[in-house]
Formats: sequence, structure tokens, C-alpha cells
Amino acid sequence: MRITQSMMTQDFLYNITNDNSRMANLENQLSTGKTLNEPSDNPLAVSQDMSINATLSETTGYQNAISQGLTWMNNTSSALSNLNSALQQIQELTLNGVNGTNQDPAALNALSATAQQMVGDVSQIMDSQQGTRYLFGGTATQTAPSSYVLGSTPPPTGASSNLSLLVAAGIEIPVNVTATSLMLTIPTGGTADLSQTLTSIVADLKSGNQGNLSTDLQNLNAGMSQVTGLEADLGSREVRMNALNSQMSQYSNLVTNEKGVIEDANMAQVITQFNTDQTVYQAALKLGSQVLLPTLVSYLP
Amino acid sequence: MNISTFYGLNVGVSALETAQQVEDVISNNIANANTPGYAQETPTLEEYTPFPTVPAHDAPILNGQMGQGSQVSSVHRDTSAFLDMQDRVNQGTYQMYSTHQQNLTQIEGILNEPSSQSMQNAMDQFFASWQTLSTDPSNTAARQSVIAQAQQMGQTFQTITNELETLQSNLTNVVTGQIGQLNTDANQVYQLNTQIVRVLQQGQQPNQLMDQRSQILDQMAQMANISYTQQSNGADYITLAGSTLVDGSNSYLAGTTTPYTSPPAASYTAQTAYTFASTLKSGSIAGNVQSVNDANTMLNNLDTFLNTFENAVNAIQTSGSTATSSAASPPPPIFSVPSSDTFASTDPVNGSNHLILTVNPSLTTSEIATGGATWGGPGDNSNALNMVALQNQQQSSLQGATFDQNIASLVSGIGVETASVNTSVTTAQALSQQSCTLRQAVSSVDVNEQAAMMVQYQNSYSAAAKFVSVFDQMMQTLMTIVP
Repeated sequence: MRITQSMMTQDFLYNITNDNSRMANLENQLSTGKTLNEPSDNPLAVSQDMSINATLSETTGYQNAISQGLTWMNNTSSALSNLNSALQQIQELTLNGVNGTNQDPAALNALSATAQQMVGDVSQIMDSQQGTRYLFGGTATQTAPSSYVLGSTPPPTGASSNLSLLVAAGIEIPVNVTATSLMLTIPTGGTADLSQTLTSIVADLKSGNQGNLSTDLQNLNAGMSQVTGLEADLGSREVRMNALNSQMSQYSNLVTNEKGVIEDANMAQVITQFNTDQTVYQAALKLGSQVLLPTLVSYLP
Repeated sequence: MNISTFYGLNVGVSALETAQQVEDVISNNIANANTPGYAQETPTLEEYTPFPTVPAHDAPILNGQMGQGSQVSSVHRDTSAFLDMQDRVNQGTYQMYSTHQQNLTQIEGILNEPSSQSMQNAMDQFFASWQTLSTDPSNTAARQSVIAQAQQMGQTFQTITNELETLQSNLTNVVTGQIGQLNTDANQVYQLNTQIVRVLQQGQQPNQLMDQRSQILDQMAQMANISYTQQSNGADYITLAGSTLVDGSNSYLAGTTTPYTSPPAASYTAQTAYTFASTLKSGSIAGNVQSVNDANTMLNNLDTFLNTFENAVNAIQTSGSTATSSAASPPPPIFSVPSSDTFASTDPVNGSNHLILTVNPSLTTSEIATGGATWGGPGDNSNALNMVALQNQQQSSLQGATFDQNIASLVSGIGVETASVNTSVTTAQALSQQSCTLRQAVSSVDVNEQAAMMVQYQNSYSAAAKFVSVFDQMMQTLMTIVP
């Protein structure tokens, strides 16, 4: 087979071009730090990579929801403990009234006035807010609970609803305690809800009605244990949230690592390969130039 | 009767002329060593007919016939028709894959995945904004963010759709231009055929015309899978995908039996040219047509995705509630439907309208339906939770995939195709390189060979010149004998 100059040039260029395209690909991997720059680099890995992206985005959303939920629950929890202390003080006042040692109207008035003050405190606690939303309002977060709990207006729609957050795929956790469940639900072992009980305590203390005050005390105790029960329930939900929080952050780390495995370039490997290709390229250039240059014509006299 | 005194001189002159003509051929070869389409020319040397040719009564008495010198009987091109045809087929295949690869790379660039700025990210941000809204449904900033993310998503997809449509219509134009080029080339081949046939009839070798024709055939083969046959009179007849391009009487517009005119007949529209182009099996035209089909498929898949998405989102939105909505006047949809562009009118050859995701322009922040079927107060986030859950729901219109999975499968589909075309390009390139080498082994100019021949014929020329000079001296000697 004849070999001509144009054939040798073409062969040389073909090989140099192949070298160059290999080096260009490696250089791209070096500068981006990823082996996965185009879908065609590894089509199956791309599909995995994209689904990991979606998972990471969702997980971030869940972590955000969890932190919001924990804040709400912590605030609710501290408001509830304030409520407990206020109710305990009212309990003491009622006990004083029941014991009957202070029977004169002036003392009774004083007791009743203090009780009134305490009920005012309870009303304020019911109106605790986070930002512009009422903690105990259920989903009627813009209506102050004290207007229907210790007032006469009926509760608005949503006052007894749960405020749920999506904290994992398919898992919704309610983060609130409603004022209606605290104050407008008749507790077990009692005959009246806390709202009625508190109102009647103030009235009965003023009038000195012993019989009513005993019933009131019973109802108050039942109401207080209901409050404690609801507090415990909130506490268990808080525990769930915290567990989910750590689970989500672990999961997020795991998924991020997996993403790195799929798309990151092994720098040592790429650099070694690049050096090899570079040596080959330089050798090809040097020897090619020595082969391509001389012809017979340069040696004719 | 004797032979002429100057017989030897004439033989010597023929030697000089032969050597000179061969040197002319060599210089032509060297001058055209790098001309594309040029095939090395080789002179054929022959002896003159000997003297005397036939016995006759007045022939001189000689012992045997005497040679009359040499001549260059013809100069022909060194080609192998088989290798030429093989090389053209391989070049066509390589051009097809290479063109397809370039266009697919562009499509990959338009999709711009996997990255954090493209389609999937826009959609994930949309759902993330709903998740944020669900933690505080009455927050105006969160509501505004939902509208903004919906607009961002619409914009991202619209950019991609527009760029794919631009690519599609550009490639369509390129294809119709290439068919036009093919028609012009076919006409040139027809003209050259006529001239070549005429020269061959006169007994000459039209080397330059045949080089030109070979070059044009190379160009045509790179564009389409032409097949050609050489006729006995020297003309090349070309057919393409069942329709004749060049025959003995005319050259035709591709895909029709209409003779070629410039400009082409009014009935030969861009649509006609493109329809014919879609039947080709090789060459860069076929590569472009396949790329147009790929872009079109991707656009249709995006349409299906966007249609399913906006219907699903709107369904959830309108089944929820706001502070002011009721069963009689449900909340307005988030996306306006229908909402397509006008691509079909800008690209009449190949275009069809595609979906643009448009956010309802009259949608206000208070009309975002966060509440459930019955309004539960400003803190009611049940519909927002439904919207967030939509991200993981399997959609029956997408063959049971979720939205994220659908986008991932679109992207990896293009990735698979590009990877396979990349492999084909490498193989086709190696094949075309090999067949080109074989063809050049026969047809291209080896400067060393020409230089050696040059020296050889230079020596022959010197020898012949020396002989003429010696003969002249012999004549001189003869003259001096006569006082």
C-alpha cells in the first residue's frame, strides 16, 4: 500500500484530535469537580442524581416545618405551665373560701376580687401569641380565644381544629392545643367546663355559697387534671418531633453523601489520567513533527 | 530504398518530447498535491508503431522492423471506483452521526440538567414555597412567595420551550437549504457529464473535469445517501432514496421529476423539500432531521408534563377554600388554561404550538386556597398540605411517575440517546478514517515518488539531448567528408 504525505498528515491529525478530546473531557471534570456534567456522561446516574435532588429539597422543607413546629410547641408548653400556676392560685383561693374561716363579706369580696384578677391572668394566657397568631386559637389563628372562652361569643370555625404540619412523607403532626379543649370541654369527673367553673368561682366566692364552692372545687380539680393531661399529650408530641428532627438531619447527611458518590470526581484518579494523556500528547506532537517534515525534495542537489 | 538519414534524429526528438511531457505531468501532480478531489495522474508511455508497418513492394530492405521512439499515449487518473464508493458511504454515515451528536449536545445544554438552576429546581422551589406556606398560612409574604415561585417555574419552562423551538426551526431551515444545495450540485454534475462525454468521444481524457465531478460527488455523499453508477459513455447517473437526481437528459429537483431550474418551480416548497429530506437514511441531512425529531419529541413530552402539572395544581387550588370563597364561587385557578404559544405560525414547515405555563394574572395573595374543603379559619392549612403532598403523588397521565420522576426520565432519555450517538460517532469516524486512507493510498500524490520520477526523467532527457548532440556531430563528420 502506498503511503503519501496527505495520508500521514491526516492520520497524525486524527490521533492528535482524539488525544485532545480526551484531555478536554478530563479538564472539564477537573474544573467542575464532577464526573457528571452532562446527562450523556452517565445517563442512569443522572436519573438517580435528579431524584436525590428532589429528595434533598423535600427533606429541607420537612426540617423547616419541624423547626417551626417545635417553636410553636415550646411556646405552647410554657404558656400551659403559666396556666397551671394561675389555676393553682385560683385553687388556693377556692380552698380558702370553702374552709369557711373567712365568712365576713369584706373578706369574701377581697377573695372574689383576687379570683377575678387571676381569671384575668388566665384570659391573658389564653391570648398568648406567636407573631400575630394566637397559640390556642386552633385554625382560627386571628381570633383572640379569650373572646369565646371566657366571653359570650360562640367559638369561630376552626377554633377546635388541629394545626398540623407535614414533617415527613405522609406524616402530619398537630402542634397545637386549643383553648376550646382546655376551657370549653367538660372534664371527666366534673360537671362543668373550666370557663363556667372559673366564672362561678368568682360569683360563689363573692356570695359565700359553700355548697356551690365545693362543686366548683371539684370541677376545678377535674379541669386542672384535664389541663395536665393535655400538657402531657403535647409533651409526647414534642418528643416525636425531636426524634424526627434528628432523623431528618441524619437522613439529609446520608443523601448528600450518596449524591457526592454519584457525581463527584475522584480528583487523584482524574489528575493521574490527565498527566498520562498529556505525556502521550507531547510525544505524539514531537515525533509527528519529525516524521512529517522531510521529503526527498529537500535532499536533491 | 533506404531509410531516411534523419531517422535517428526524429527518434531522439521523440525521446525529448516524451521526457518533457512526463515532467509536465509530474509538475501538475506536485502543484495539485493538496487540491481536494484531485487524483494523481499517471502518463502511459507507448512505443510508436514500428517501421515498416506492413510488408509492401516498395518497403526498404531491412532486417526486421525498427522502432520509431516513444510517445505519451494517454494521461489517466489513478482511482479505484470501489474504494471511492466505499469512502463516500462511510463519510456519509460519519457526517450523519456527527451532525446528530452536535445537535444533541445543544439540546443537552438547553435542558441544563443536572444542575441547581433548571427545570427540576424550579418545580422543587414551587413545592417548597407551599411547604413554607403550610407552616403559617396567613403570612402574606409566604403567599407572595408562592405566586413568585409559580411565575419563576413558568418562566424557566418557557425559556426551555422557546430555545428548543428555535433550534427546531433553525435546523428545519438548514435542512431545506441543504436540499437546495443538493439540487445545485446535481445540476453541476449533469453539466459536467455532458462535457465529459463529449471529450471522451473525441478520444481525450477529461481529467480535470472528472476531478471536479468527483469532488462534487464527495460533497453530495456527505449530505445524503446518494447512489451513482457510471455509464459506458462516461457519465455518472445519480439516484437518491428512489428518486432520480441526474440522468442522461436532465437533472431533477430532489424527490420530484421536475427538471432543475434556478430558482426552483413555485410548487417546490420548503415543505416538499423537507418531506423528502425526512426519507433519507444517511448523511448530514438525515442527522439534522433526526435532531429535529428529537427536539419535537422533547417539546411534546414537556407539553404533557406541563399540562398534567397545571391541571393537578389547579384542581387542588379550586377544591380548597379561602376566607372569601364559597361553594358557589370557588377560588380562582393558579395557572391560566389554555395557554400556548404560536410556534406553528412562525415555522410552517414543522412547527406546532406548545404549552406555556402562565400564572393567572388576576390572582391575588388572598386568593391562594390554603384552607380545606370547608374553611377552617386563617390557620387552616389542609389544602396547602394537599399541595405539598402532590409532589409525591403518582400521575396516571405520566405513566404512574411523579413529577420529579418524569423530568428525570426525560433528561436521562436524552442522555441515553446522546451517549449512544457518541459511541456511534467514534466507530463511524474510525471506519471513515480507514476507508479514506485506503482511497488516498491509490489516489493521492506522494511527493517522494514524484521527486524520484522527476530525477529519472531528467536523466532520460539528458541522455536524449546527448544523443541528439552526438547525432549532430555525426552529421558534421559526414559534411566534412565532402570537400
